[in-house]
Amino acid sequence: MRVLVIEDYELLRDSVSQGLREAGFAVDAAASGEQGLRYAQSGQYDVIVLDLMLPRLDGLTVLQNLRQEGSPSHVLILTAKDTAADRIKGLNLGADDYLVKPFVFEELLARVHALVRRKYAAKSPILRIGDMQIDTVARTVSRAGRRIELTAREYALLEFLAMRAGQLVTRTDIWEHVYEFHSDAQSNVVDVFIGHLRRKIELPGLGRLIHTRRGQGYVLGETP
Amino acid sequence: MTRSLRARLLLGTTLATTVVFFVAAGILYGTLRGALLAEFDNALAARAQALASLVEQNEREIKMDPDPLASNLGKGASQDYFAIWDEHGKSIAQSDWRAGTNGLAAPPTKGSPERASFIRLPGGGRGRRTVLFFTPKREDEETTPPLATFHQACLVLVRETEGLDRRLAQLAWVLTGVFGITMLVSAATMAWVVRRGLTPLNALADRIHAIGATDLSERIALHESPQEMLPVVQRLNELLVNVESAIARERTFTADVTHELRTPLAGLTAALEVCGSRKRQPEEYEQAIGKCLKAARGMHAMVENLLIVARADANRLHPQYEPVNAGWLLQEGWRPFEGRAAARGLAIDWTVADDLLVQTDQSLLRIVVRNLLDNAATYAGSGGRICIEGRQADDRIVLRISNTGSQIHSEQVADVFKRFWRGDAARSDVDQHCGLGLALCRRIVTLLEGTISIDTVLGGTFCVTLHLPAKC
Repeated sequence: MRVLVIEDYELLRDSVSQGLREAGFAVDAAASGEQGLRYAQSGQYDVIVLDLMLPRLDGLTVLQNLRQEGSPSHVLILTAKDTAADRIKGLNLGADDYLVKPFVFEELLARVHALVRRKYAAKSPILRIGDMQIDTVARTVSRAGRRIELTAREYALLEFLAMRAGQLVTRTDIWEHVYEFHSDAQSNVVDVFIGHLRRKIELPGLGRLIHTRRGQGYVLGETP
Repeated sequence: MTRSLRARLLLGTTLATTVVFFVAAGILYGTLRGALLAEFDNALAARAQALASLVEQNEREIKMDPDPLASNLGKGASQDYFAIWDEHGKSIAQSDWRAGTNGLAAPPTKGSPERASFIRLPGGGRGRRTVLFFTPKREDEETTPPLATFHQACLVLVRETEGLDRRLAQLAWVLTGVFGITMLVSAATMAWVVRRGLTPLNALADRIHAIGATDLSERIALHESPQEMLPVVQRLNELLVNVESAIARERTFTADVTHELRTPLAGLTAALEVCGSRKRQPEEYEQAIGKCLKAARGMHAMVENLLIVARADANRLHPQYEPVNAGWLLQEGWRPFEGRAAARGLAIDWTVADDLLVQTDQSLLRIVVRNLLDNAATYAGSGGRICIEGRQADDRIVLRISNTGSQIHSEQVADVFKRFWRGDAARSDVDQHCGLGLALCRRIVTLLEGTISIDTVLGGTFCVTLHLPAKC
């Protein structure tokens, strides 16, 4: 899943970005409203973490622009203002969630996860595909009751596929949602990672779950 | 003296009216008594005259003509007693009198006052006595020739004053009664009037009570207050204005502090939480600790600045003037930033005159200098240049601090002085600044009776110029 962090205070921006990356998200960080808007317009982000008190172009204006342009990203607002009026304003302008500074990072993480689930209309934190069970909160994967250890990247990729289980996911989709903006664009990197993932989850004795649609992409499901 | 206004007013007015009424009653009584006595005395004198006309004298003696009317003496409402003597003290006639009656025992000497006077009667009671010296008429006046010498006689008439005394006593009682009732009525009326008159005070007390601690925007209407209370009410309103603005300032300060500290705090906690979320290499911990320390220091500086700004707002900042070497202050202020400047490859130009003395508050000027040098060292583009100038110009000293790589547009100069305004923060290699610096600098410089101005060209030089009076 891809997250954009727009926050001008460096320490906060860096810490949140690092924390989200370590939790398996692909994170891009912007230090100003203008930069953030540029990134958001050019990339598809699942969640945008937006600070309201930005210099020059303030957060609410960025939010308005995003919504006017029809951005499908879910927006979580970070702000030091905690009055109800501010919360209402932010939500009415199109924010999906609201967190007051200072916050517990775990909570930010949980809310971002919730927004991702919402985006993919997965109400339950447990995803079940065939005999595979993915706990999106605990970030664990098991098949037929046996735990499978994945790296953060692998998990992110699997979760992305699982969120759209049964749907075709193109390489471009995977690339844009799971890998960061500034990474080198090599199309077979996706294939390589899918291969890694397959090796881990499609153990001998367990059925195939990741199906290739030649020339198009991949589908996660019991049947191709 | 009692502390109650109402009691004092009541006491004062009651005392005054008592005295006035007392005096009036006294005068009234005196006048009426005088009239009654005059009436009595007139009757007495008439009686005496009547008796005297009954006395006749001839060549040999003075005698009283026993008149049938005379036998009426002693009858009637009051008892009369009389005695008549000739000029040698020989008794001519006298009424039935009880022995020992004063004034009737012996003839008065000629020359004693002839006015009526009260005497004590034997057997108790009181009487009024009048004395008449007269010359008895010639016996058979019409038929006989006048005498060669006329002898004098003296009549003393005493009348019981029982009736008079009774009437006087009645008068006294009536007046006392009227006086007493009048006093009571007036006291009651006074009490009511005083209470009514003091209601504005009670109303004011109620209004003040109604202005609670939560809503200080109310003012006491001047048109409702009596004239005497206008100064009090006006002063009260002024005080309310002061208190309200003081509380508003405090609220603003508290809101500013909490608001501005929240972001650095969020950064601090996020950094620590993320750092502590898993096992890391020592270098990572070191880095994290360094960043957190910087953030904490930044917050400290922000709080200090906010406090100074708040004090300046509340006009509680009082400069202590002393001679200060501005050049030395600049050099001392620059020291903490030398490292940063070197690390960023900045060139420094010093053009500071020696002995640049200024009469000012050293600690406040130090804050300004530190803020400006901090900004220059922070916002100068990497590999750029910082110019620090100080010179004397007539009666002022001019300090100028400028840096290349300005990111502020010339049109944003007014914004730059606003509180909490932050310029473009798209820098990855410098600390976050809270934006309070220039607002604080301007506040302080104004307090020190100087001026501060900024010239800037986007991409060019950002220049801050300070003018301070050399002597205060």
